[in-house]
Amino acid sequence: MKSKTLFIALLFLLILSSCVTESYDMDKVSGEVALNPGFVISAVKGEVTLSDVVEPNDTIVFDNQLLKFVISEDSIIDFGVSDFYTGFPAASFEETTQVAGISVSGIRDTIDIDPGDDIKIKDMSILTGDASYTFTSWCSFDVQLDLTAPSIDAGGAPFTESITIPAGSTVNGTLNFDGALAGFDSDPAQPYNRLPLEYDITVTNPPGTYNPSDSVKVVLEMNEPEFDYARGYFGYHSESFEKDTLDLEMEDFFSRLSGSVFLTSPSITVNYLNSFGIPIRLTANVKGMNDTEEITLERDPVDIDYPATTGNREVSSSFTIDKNNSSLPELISMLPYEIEYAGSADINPDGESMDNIVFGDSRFLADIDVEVPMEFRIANLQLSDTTDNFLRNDDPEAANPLEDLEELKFDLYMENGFPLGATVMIELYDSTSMAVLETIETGDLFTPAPVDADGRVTDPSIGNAEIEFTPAFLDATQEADKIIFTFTLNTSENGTKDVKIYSDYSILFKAAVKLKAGIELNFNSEE
Amino acid sequence: MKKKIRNTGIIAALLLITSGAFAQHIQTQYFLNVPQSSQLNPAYRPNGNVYIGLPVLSNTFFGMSNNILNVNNLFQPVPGTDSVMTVLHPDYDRDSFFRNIGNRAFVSTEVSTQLIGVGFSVADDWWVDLGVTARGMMRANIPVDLFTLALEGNEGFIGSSADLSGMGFTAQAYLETHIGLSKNITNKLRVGGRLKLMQGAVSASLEANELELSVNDDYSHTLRSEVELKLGGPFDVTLDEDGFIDDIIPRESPAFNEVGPSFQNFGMGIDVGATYDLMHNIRLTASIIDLGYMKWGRESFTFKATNDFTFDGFDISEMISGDKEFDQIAEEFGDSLLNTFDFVDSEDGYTTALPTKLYIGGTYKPVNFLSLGVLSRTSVGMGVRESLTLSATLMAGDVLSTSLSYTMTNRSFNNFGFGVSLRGGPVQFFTVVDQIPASWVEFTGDNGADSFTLPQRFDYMNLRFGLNLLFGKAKKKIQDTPMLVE
Repeated sequence: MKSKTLFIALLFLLILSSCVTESYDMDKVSGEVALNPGFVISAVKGEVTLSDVVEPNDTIVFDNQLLKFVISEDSIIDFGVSDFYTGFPAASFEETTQVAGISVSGIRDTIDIDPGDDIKIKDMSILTGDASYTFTSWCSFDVQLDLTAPSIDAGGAPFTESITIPAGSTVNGTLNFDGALAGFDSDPAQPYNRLPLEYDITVTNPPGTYNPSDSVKVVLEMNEPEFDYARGYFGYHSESFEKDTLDLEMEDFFSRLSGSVFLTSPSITVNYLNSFGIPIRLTANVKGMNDTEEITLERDPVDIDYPATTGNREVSSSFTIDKNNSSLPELISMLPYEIEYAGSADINPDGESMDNIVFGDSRFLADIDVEVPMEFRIANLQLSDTTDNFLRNDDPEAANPLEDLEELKFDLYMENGFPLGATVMIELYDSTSMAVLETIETGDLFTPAPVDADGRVTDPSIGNAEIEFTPAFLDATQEADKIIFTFTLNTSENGTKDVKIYSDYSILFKAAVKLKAGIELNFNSEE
Repeated sequence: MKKKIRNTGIIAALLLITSGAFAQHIQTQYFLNVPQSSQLNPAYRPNGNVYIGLPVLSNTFFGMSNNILNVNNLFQPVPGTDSVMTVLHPDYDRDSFFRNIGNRAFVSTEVSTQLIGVGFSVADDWWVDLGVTARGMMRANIPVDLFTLALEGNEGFIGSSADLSGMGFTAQAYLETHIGLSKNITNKLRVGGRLKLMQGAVSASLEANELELSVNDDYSHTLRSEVELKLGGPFDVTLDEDGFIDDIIPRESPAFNEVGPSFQNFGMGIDVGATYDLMHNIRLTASIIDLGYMKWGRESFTFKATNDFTFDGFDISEMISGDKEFDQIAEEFGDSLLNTFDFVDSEDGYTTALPTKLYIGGTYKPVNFLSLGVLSRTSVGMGVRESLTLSATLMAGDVLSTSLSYTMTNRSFNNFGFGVSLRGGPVQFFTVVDQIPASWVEFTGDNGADSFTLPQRFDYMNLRFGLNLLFGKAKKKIQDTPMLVE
């Protein structure tokens, strides 16, 4: 019985031995919190084909899938005959003939026209035209005047006109040449600009005697006709375009580029409609300039096609400036700040070798197409850009989420179907101390895809890249006020091979984020 | 809103308070000489001929078990100071936090009270008992991987998976009516059984049968899920146009026939057990408790969502091409994610299993008044849990019985329990507690003006007490072998 009692006593002793072993003062609960969770997640992905992101329009086209930039400008040159040929002033003819018999015949003379310097009109098809005449008679009897223009073909016969002039009267009128073909080349001594004229005077009721004062004055004034065409030689003219400079306003951008880019096949095509039957030779002197070099276009003069017969009134043609006939690729690829240009247009550059034809509605109308096919090579082309530090919180009172990051890393997976690769360098820059605080170099973000001999991609380039923002970099984001991004681009085979950009190129990417937070809080702090 | 919360609280309280146990019993009770020991092994025969349990007073139980609310798990002293630090503190030993949780954190509470209980012996060998008990339970599981995700992120799961399966909660309240019989089969073997009929009151469970988040090497995430929500009670559930649950509204002021026990929520279960006297002082015992089911048919609702989905980033192709804004892409992603779920909802009722327990044990009496025992308990229900109890029970005749136990459970190994029964005439009082708080923590605050004390270990606490009327005394079989004299 004693042992039972002892056991029970021990049991109760055990129970009663329970005691307060610890005391927690909740006023002193530490408010310190430190968490370092690490998170990974696939953030974004996508597969983008060039044709998905580039919408063809007037400027961007796919020519057999090849991406091209096309800039077209209509009517860059538009001039008509009035801009080229001002016509000729009215030509006049005045002759007084004494009438001493019943008939005065075979009076021949010419009317010379003056169409301008060195212009020799041989014939002209007149749409509408006339000549004013004034016939004055000092005779005491009536006379009849028969006027003939033998080189004016009016319906298959020379132009003639008979006019009766009453005694002592003056007759005014108009000679109509509508539809006539006037030849100005019938005088072998001057086979141009000269119109022969003949007239006869007949006394219809002869008087008994003739006085010395019996005479007739013929005054003709040729008005400028509207012509269908004029044929002849319109002279040698050289029109120079004064040297001028076009500022592309790209200096700021181009100056931030280094390395080389070479656009292989840019071209400038001028399409024109020409109904001036005159040889014209255009010469362009174009030069690109930047800080380090000058490159001239070196394009030979261009002879403009023209109609050679009256039956072919208009010629449609074009000429092109490209890599085959100029240094255009080199000029564009030098990334010029300015384009200096001058030039000239020579009319009848080879002299009077053939007849020119100017139609009454002659016109020269030219459009221009600038084509830049995306066919190029790039070697270490670097583009730097400085932006305000968008990672820094402008409000110093506001919490900076980057402070809570110990590690931030982006993992990229790329299947690059473009023959273009890139690296990026990110620098945090403090403009006060003019120092780069931290730098991240990504290495190859993506590498260019290989291409065949024609510059077309054969297989995508598959690779991974990692962009790690170190703790030091994250800390420095609050000190730097600028961020400098430097992109370095290369095409396939280190930019030694021409590549082409086609609409079916695509890029597949996945971007994942890995971050480790360093959250440190203190709820005991009054702050 | 407040009303909704209040109603939800009322139903939760009903689930918790109304009735009996979900998962736990007090192992110490197993070795104590009280009629309630038959709850753990129906072959047990009390030391009396008639037992009457006083309504409500005879058997009341409160149990709580968890592996996360331990004071030591939530607070640690800051070394070298008188400060206290939380699990979020940089110097906190988080490894121990995770060790204590194991694979999943859980919180389990249960309440039961016996409304009626009688037992009596028939023809010496038979023992018959009848009873009606109200039982309620709630259990919530949080996989440890969820804590890992919250505290350490998903980085550690690259190439593997965060297993969140089993996450959820379940709660039930029901009325249990039983009849039990036990009988000696041989001189050494006694078997018993108990048939239980249940009338369910309310139940609710939300459980992720499968919830696995795989973090692949490319940082894409694959989510496989099968989540099931079961409601049996006065809830109005509305679905949105996608078939997803839009709202769950507990009904205001539900009538008793909406929340009270009902055979529309019918359940049936059995307990079976046996004791075998291997030697005159060694007894082996085994029992299976709560093998059965509940069929919830009154205002029941089942909602099941399954999904197998991989997220490998927002597809921003159309954003690059200028066809869409990112907001639109994100919104469409949300819609498509929702569309990957297969939703099944049903009002056909559902069945839940009773939380079955398997007890295997043995006692050894080195002397007549002392019994040493060992008891293994395996419970099934929202996971399998195992505990092992060692006990020493002292019996001072029929008057006093005391038991001291040591239990290993919930990854803790210092759980000392105590039980005592005291009988004076026909009145028997007993109380059993599975964990004696050996050490306490005093919390002070407001510069010492406020203070309260909590057990240092708060992870395992079961208490049962009651008052029985016990008449008569069971006849003991004489197992002595007659001495023969030649």
